Amino acid sequence: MTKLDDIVVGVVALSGGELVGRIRLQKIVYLLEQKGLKSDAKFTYHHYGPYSEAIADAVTDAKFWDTLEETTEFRKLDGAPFSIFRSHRPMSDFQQLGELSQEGARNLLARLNSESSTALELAATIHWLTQVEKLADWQQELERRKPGKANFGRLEKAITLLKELELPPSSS
Amino acid sequence: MAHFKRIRDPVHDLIIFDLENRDSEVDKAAWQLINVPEFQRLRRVKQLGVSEFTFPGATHTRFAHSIGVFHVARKLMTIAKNQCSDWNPNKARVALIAALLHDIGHGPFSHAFEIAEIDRLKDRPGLYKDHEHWTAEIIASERHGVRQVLKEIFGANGAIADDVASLLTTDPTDIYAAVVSSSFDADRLDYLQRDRLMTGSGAGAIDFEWLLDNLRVVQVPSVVEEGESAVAIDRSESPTEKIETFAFEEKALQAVEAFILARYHLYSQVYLHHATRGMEQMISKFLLEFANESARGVVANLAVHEDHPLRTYYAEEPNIRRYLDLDDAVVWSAIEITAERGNGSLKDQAKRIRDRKLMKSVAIDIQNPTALDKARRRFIDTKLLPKMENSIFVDRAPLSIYKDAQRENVKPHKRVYIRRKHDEPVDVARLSKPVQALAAGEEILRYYFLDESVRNSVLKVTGERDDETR
Repeated sequence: MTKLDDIVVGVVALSGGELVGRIRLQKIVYLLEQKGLKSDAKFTYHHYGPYSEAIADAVTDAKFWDTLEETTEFRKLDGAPFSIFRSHRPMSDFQQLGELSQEGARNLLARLNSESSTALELAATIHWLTQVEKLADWQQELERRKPGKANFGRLEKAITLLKELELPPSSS
Repeated sequence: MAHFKRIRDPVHDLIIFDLENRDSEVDKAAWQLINVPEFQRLRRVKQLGVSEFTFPGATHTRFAHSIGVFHVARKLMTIAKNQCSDWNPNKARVALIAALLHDIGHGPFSHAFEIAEIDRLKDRPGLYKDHEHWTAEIIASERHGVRQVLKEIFGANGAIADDVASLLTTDPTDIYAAVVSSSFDADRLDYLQRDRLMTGSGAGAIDFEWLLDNLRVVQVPSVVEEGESAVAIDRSESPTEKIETFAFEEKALQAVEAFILARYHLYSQVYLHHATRGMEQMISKFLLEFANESARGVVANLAVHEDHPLRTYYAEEPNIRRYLDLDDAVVWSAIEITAERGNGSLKDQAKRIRDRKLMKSVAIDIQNPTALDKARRRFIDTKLLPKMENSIFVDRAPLSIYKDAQRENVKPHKRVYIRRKHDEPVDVARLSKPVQALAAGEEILRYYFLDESVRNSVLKVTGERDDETR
């Protein structure tokens, strides 16, 4: 088990032992990273926003070493596949999550898990566009990369989330 | 008077370009685009890179593939046109040209070259460009042939080139773009058939005509939340957000399953073949070392002349002029010259590649590991890799046929939809057990060893005798 394997399992364990969705997992680690997680994961931009190959590998490895379970399920309405991650390790195994305290990590995870995966995707993407790509007109670029996704109040939710997390651009 | 140009193709037989008909300006443009130097370069870039080391017949090029994609795209566009009431010929034109040019930015030995580039430029943010970025740049360039042709035929200073580049770098939302990128796009329909034919693989057959006959244009949600509980969110928040794409009639379900399984078989048996992947690792390592040496400029200790195109490309920051000088032949010449007249590690590597001295590997079953898999992996990761990172190569790759390459989730426009009577289109996974099984995804993990004795130590890590190793 590497440090990143352990962080991935810790994110699931401190989310109550279950977490739904690979997009959700990736964006949560990205946002936690901005809050001082120090996972060492390198992120690049892909279809759903900031993405780390190392996190995807860590999921595979945690499953390989039997510390994480993943099942694939399909939505009854339209058959869309999604992953459910489960960890059976107790929260007490994670007094720290990276450089975050357990209490700090749990509070952040509770907030992040209350959002839809699309809101997390938008929040992580906005942070990426403004802080990594340093785009002044990030709204236009967001609409170009994710046409229609920011509609129906999702953009506002993402901005509110960033503000509550005290992350830019809302915090600046 | 009718004026046709014809190309014979091993997959599609006769591909005809109508150069006189007033409604066939796309054919005219395509014929001229095929003849610009940037497109002709694709004659010298093999479609499957080093797969010919494993499948000797797989020497087909991105040139033939690209023309095949254009041919299939025309067929798909005709189907789409017959089903759409508000047809937009301008968008159709952009998509057909995009289909022809979609691979124009591929470098030599595509995968191996890109891996070396990522490593070479990892500490220089913003410099790395994947083949899609190169494609867009080549198409939009004022100084290169594509835009010039488009300018001559369509006017407006070649503005259509920007539309083509944009279509190839953004997610599709309409049926025109779906012809170029969707679960059933022209690229996939050509390479599945072409790669199967040229490798000689018996796996991966598709029922092409039946699938085409059952193809329909549908609208599906563009935003799909993860999880069962998110259905309510989808319905409340996105009542009108839709993208146009292809779906199949339910009676084609078995053919659709075979189409998805065909990709699975080709990926597992051809694209991710252990010999091919091992050779790619060797070429990436060679290119990276060659690049690092080239960066030293005129004092670089290289056997090739300082004007060799591979050397000049690596001596500068990535730029379109030098990039377009690269092809498989350029890399092979660097390998051959280095093998004959080079020295040190680069010469050894070049000789090994040229003479097909493959590295042997140890595969770890990462989905269903045995105790032996775990013991071997632990031994390699903790005992060997820390001190031998230059002679052991790790190959990890997703075999995710129904998940995107990033292993996050299948993109809405890449999902395969089935149109049911009196119902919304549904994901094929809802109706098909085989596709459900594939949705979980698989991965491969292999370790390649330059030194055979090190590999043997791994095979015997738990005390196996020679006849017990696998």
